Parts: sequence; C-alpha cells; structure tokens
Amino acid sequence: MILAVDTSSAVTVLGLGDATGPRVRARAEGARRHAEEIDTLFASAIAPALVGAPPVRAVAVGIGPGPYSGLRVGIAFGIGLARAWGVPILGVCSLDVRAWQVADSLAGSEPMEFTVATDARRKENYTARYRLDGHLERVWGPVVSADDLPDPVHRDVEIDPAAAAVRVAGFIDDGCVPQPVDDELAVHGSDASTFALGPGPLFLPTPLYLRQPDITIAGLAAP
Amino acid sequence: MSAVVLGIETSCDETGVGVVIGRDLAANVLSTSIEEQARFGGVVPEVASRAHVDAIGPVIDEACAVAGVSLRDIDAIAVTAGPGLVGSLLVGVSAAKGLAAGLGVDVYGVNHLAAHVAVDELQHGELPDPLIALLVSGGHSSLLLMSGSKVEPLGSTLDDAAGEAFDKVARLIGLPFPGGPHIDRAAELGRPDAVAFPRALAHDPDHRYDFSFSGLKTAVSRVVREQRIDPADVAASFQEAVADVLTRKAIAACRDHGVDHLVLGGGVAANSRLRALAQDRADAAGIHLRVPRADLCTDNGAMVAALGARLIRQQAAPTEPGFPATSTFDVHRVLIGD
Repeated sequence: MILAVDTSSAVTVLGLGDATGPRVRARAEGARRHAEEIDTLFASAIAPALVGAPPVRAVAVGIGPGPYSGLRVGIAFGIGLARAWGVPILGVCSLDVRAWQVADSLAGSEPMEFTVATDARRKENYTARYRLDGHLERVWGPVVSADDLPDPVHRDVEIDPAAAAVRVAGFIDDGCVPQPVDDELAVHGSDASTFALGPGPLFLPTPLYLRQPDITIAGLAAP
Repeated sequence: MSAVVLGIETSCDETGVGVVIGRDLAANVLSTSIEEQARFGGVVPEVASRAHVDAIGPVIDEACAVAGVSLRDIDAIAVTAGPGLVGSLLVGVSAAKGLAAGLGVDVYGVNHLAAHVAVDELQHGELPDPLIALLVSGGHSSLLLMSGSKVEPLGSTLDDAAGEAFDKVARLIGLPFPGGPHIDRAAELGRPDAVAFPRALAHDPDHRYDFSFSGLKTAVSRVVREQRIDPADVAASFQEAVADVLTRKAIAACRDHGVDHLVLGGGVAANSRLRALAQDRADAAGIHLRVPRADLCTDNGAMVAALGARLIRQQAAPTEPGFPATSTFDVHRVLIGD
C-alpha cells in the first residue's frame, strides 16, 4: 500500500492505493487551509481505511511546483508520517502526477504531445510538456513561465491521490529509485533560478520552488 | 511512568527538536539558517521556511538518537503553533501532525511564549506558582503574570522587540547579525556609562509594564552618526539601557502583584548583562530569580517538549485535529484552541 499526499494546489488530497488499484481518496478545498485539513482528512478517511489493510510501504508526496507554504505542508506531513511508520518517503513532481492522469484519459490515442499547467500567480504558469507514445515522457519542464503555452493544454487538473498511489506502487515494483533534485545546472525559473529535474518518476522529497525567495526582512507579530 | 514527549519548534529561523522524559531533558537538537540569514542582515521568512523543510526530518532523527529513544517510544508530540512566522510554523505543525498521526499519539499545539517559561523546569525543577515571566527575544518583549493555567499579559513592547533592537544597533556599529551575542562581547570592552541612552517608558504610569526600543535605536543611530565614540562604549551603553528598563519593570511587576518569583526567557535572556542586573535587582528586592542556561533561552525544541510534558502532568486535553499555525497566538492561552 502507498499513501499519497499532495498540497501543491488549493486542494489538499490524500489517497491510498497499491498495485491492485485505488483504495481511498480524500480531498478538501482551501488555499490557506492545508495544515488544518491534512490531519483532519487523515483521521476521517485514511486512518479508518488502514485498519486491517496491508501495511503502507512508502509515503509519496507531491513536491510541486506549487505555492510554497501549502506545498511544504504536504511534504512536512509526509516526512512525519514516513518516520513514524519507518517507511521511505518519495517525492513525485505534481505536474507529472497530473500528466499521468491525462495520459490515462488518452489511453489508446495516437502518439501526441500535451502541456500540463497550473497557476503560478504573478500571471505565470507552472508547466511541463509531455509526449505520450505508448509510454509517457516529460519533454521539458517543469518551469515557471509567463509565455504562451503550446497546445493542447491541460490546466489545473485536480490530482487523484489514489491513482497516484497506484502509479507509485508500480514504479517501486519496477525498481525505480528516487533521484535527487539538483538545484543547479539549468534555468527553469522566470527569475533565472536554476535546478535540474531528471526524468523521474520518483525523487527525493525536495520542494520544486522554481523561484528564488523574495527577500523581505521579517517583523514578527507582537503577541 | 514519565511521559516521553517530543517537542518541535519552527517559529522563526531555528529548527529545533527536543525530547523530554518527565522533567528530564533527553535531547535538544537544533539546525539554524542563521548563516544564510546573516547575508540579509535579518530573518527572511521564505529562506527560513525553506530551511525548515530541509532540516526537520534529519533533526527529528538526531534528537531521537541523542535521547536514545525510537519514535515508537514517544508518548506525545508538542509543537509550537504560534506566535511566529506562519510559513515557518506550518512546517513544524505539519511534521508534528504527520508524526502524531503515524504514531497514533496525542499532539499539543502550544504557545511559544509559554514554552519559553516552561523550559526552566528542565533546569530548576517545578515552576513556582504564581510567577512573573519576562520574555525577551527577537520577536517578543513581554511581561506575563502566570498563575495556575492562566496567563495574564501585563505589558509588551509598543514597537521593536528587544532582540530586534540588538540586531539593528549591531548593524549601526558594524557588527554582524544576529546582534545579541556580538553586542554582548563588544560590551565587555566598553563603558556602560559612556552614553546616557534614553530609558523609554521607564516612569510612564500609563505604560508601567510596556517597553519601547525604537527611540533607543534612533538615539544610538544619532550618536554613531554625530559623535566619535568607541563602538564598544556604544554597545555597553546600549546594552545597559535595555537591561535597565527590562529588569526595572520586571521587578516592579513582581512587587506590584505580590509575586516573589521571576523567570527570564527568550534569546535576549542569554545576554550576560541582563542576567547579572536581573540577579542584582532580584536579590535586592527579595525575589527569587530563575533563568535557564543560555542554550535553553534561545528558541529550541526542548522548551516545547517541556511544556508538552507539563501539560500532560496537568492532564490537559490534547489539541484536536484541524488546528492551525498562527502568527498571532492569543497570549492568554497556553494551548491553541483552548
């Protein structure tokens, strides 16, 4: 069994699945409520489903790209869960996960390319391009960009965490090992920030920020 | 049997995880982004948040290793839920929720300020009741009256926190960030009476327990700009002014409320002059002063674990799922949602 978590968008999702198929999925909306929703969803949907179920083999977390604070909620929750269970934590590119779902919906179609995109604010997109030809391959990205996107564009696809868990279970069974996210080498951010993401599909749980931090000095709120 | 509590602190730029068994400190592990922050002369919230998510897992592992416990031995998780930088808090709160969910144990979302007081139990035993707490750090300057489970805020800073003033003054006299320890060292070579810096609100009856440090910072700026004074003398005189106001008001709060125990906490409580002056004035007033050792004064996970352990002893109900991280924690409360 794989537990999948993603908080790369305004929707918090958790799901369970294994090689036999999806088991449970839970979702809650709220762009600034990931931390409030994530343990509530776990307690209400995931914990009951784990009773009598096969043990969880790994926790898979969406590493984005996505709005930073929300993104970190899912990753940090996954870090805690994985340590508590003594299982590996794996990162998956949240755009790849959306592309897996698009590919599933296009099964049997002619070879084609498509773009996946989500809102990166500041009139930009988090985006990546994929080729589907029997198997799915990321052609470029993920990047953050204000450029026009090549068609067809699948925008803001909501992640199905149970389907993601099924995919990850398959990758593990195929012997995939998580790759590091290199923070140098290639320009991927509109602010010239750099990193390099291998083809995957599994990564270490390193957030894909794609932008340098905005530099404003903190002033803590008075109690 | 004593509860084993793991505490997580991520309210600013320190990723801290501590393990407390009963009232005994078993581990206090810290990872800091201070060197990275020093490039900017202050804490950059997004830089701190990024550092927290990178550090939280390894720091949890190291804390358990140092304590000689496995996560399976943990009876409860305590985590700072506020006040602080919300992006930073979210990392600790989320990791704590994940740990608690995976282990099937209770989680306590606690007030950072109350944790700064509770940490003293690890060094000096059970906290007296009632007590006055003087909490001074880069984010807070507060005087609290604590009695039973009640926290009554008596006063706080009207502008800059004391630690913030140390950082700004350090910059003015060419010392690096964070300013506190550098000013403390520089002041050893200076004269505390070299410059008579203002003691804001020292005798203001409308703000008997409040503080103000922005005028002091401006005064230092003027002196540095207009006079050729040894930076060590500036550091010593500035430090004296801060320590004077803080201790004067803390002792006044004790006397006014008939409380004979004063606890200092927060990063600025590591300042040597503040500790010495507080001791002198407490002794003169017949007040028992408790100051945790320096590494327990600055932000750390042990203080959060200590508060969690205290709450368990008091049979406080754990925090329900769904609690947030909040930048403005109600100072009256020890537990979020309480």
